[in-house]
Amino acid sequence: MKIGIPRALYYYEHYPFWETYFHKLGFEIVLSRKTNKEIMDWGVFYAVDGACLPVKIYHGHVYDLVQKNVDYIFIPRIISVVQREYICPKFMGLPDMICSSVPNLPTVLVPVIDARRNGWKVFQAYFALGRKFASPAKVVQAYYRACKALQMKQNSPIISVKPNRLTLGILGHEYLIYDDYLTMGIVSRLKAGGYNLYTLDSFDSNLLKHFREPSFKRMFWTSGRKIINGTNYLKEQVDGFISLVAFSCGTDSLVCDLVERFCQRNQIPHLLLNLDEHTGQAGIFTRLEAFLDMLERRAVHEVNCSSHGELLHSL
Amino acid sequence: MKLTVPHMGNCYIAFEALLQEMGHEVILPPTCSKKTLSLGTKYSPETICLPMKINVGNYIEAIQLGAEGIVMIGGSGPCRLGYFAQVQKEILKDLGLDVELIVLEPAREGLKNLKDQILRLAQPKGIGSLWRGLRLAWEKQKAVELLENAACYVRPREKQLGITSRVLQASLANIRQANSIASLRRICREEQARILDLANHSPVQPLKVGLIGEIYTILESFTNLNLEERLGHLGVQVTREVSVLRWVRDHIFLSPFASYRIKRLVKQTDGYLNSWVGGHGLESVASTIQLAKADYNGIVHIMPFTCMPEIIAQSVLTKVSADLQIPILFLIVDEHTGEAGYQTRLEAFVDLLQRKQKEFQHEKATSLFGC
Repeated sequence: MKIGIPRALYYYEHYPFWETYFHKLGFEIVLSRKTNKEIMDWGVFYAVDGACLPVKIYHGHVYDLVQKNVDYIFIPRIISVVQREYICPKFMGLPDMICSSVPNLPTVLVPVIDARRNGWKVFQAYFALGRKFASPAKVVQAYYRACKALQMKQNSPIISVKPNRLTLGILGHEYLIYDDYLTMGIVSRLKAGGYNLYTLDSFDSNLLKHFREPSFKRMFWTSGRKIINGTNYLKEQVDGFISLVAFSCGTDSLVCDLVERFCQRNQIPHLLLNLDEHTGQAGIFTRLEAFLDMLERRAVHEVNCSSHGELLHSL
Repeated sequence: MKLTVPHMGNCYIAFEALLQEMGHEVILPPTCSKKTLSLGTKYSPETICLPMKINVGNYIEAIQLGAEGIVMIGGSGPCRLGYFAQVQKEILKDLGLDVELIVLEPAREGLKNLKDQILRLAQPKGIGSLWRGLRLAWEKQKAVELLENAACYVRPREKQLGITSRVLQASLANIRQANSIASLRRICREEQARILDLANHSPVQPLKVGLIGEIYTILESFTNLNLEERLGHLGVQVTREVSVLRWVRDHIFLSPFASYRIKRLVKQTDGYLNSWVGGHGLESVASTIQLAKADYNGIVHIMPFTCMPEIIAQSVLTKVSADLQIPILFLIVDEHTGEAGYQTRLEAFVDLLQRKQKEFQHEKATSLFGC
């Protein structure tokens, strides 16, 4: 039996879990191709206009799997992964969106991942899903192994910090940051350039819980909470923040506004890059280079008093 | 303290009654206008939905009129409404406007916080005034919705074009003046009769269209460019599927039974949408299917640009529309106020509905005579 998993959205966070789980249940796993022009075009074609770019891309990935003749496609309905928090409404309705817009779908497996109350419901969902294909003992074992695999991934070591290089904090959803096609390779370029990069998954997720901005209301989106707390945690360790946002992302419209205000008050440089279906790289890279130039210059010339007008004379 | 509330259609009548009964001076923001919109757009995040932008505009205009405190509701997700107040607080702080934001968060965000805010609102006249205020506000809202629905019924049948909306405005002003429940009920009866009297009684039934979607854009006629009125003048009887009373009943009085309500709604969607998605997304799909079964001629779905729950609804509804053969017009509103394009789309939609109805009647007639 072949099961297709789209290489988009929660793939980037939960793939080790899904891989182990379905492998133990005896499935052959088929991934969609990495995002490319064709997948993006399919996504834009099948999705509604108002959806954000990652959701559109997801449609494209599902269609890619449809063409690979898999027996099942795995599209979980992820309501919540942390207690009392949500991901985003679009994740809650994603399977229904796909089923009503992508044609010729094989059987779709839709477990409901809802950890709002506790983790027990998540286990129940995976258990019920696995019971269709294997014995109870095997399912429990697969689930246990999968949890272990996810833990191994989450505790991946923090990147070593080289001294005299700029340190940047990359803020954004993991499904955006790690998709090289969507971000036009910004992250890999920065890595190749030798910058120290902090992404939000380089920390233990519990660590970020303690760095809540006290005056803010409890953030009820998991990714939003990570971004806000991560900004607060990293404010003294980085030279600047780069926010990668998908156009018309609902949660980020508010979260990034808060981050921007936060950076302004704390005088941290912040670059906001809005990504959409456009594939023109020149504009994005020019902005990125200008930002990096500014940071480097700031490290040399900035003094604590106002530098207005001073810089020109000193050059 | 002089308090203000953001606008949402004609809700200000009930809010004003509530706060006045509790002993506050109420300063309402001026009716939403292009000025409100441009103020809001200037200071709000770029891609946030229209309701929040108009809220911010309302606040700034009310503060200019002397408001010292703002009453706003919160939420606990996943719709963005729950975080509006937090961001609005930051916006007002950065603008240097010194006002107090009284945010009524739902109980699950902390009972103590909710209790503190309510006690603060009830400070001038005691907690008893809260009960009296709520009753009066509830009755006023009921009266307002009754009159609005009556107007929707009368508009396609009105004797003189545009008279219903004028009478409705006068009636709402009378409702606003009423200060006891007894007088309110009397006024409401009179005004309802006055509005219903404007209708011509002809045997031809107008087209029936259901209005669904995001609650703010449905209720606030500035954001939807007087959608109900426009449709009414095109000869369409509009049924609003979303109302404040219903929202309060479902989300406040019946909140302990929320999971039961959601299960019932999911059942109504016939498998098209199998989960609650925040906001009114699930309700939109469920009521579309109900209306399609009730032989409505068409559906108008309206939402602000980037509204998260309604994007899901829209995606699902395209399939529903094809399967159940019910025409749906999707309207996405944002800061644009160009009316011509909007009017053209509405006219085209109504034309389509009329033609479809004629064909249907023709088919019925031919099959009746065995041709």
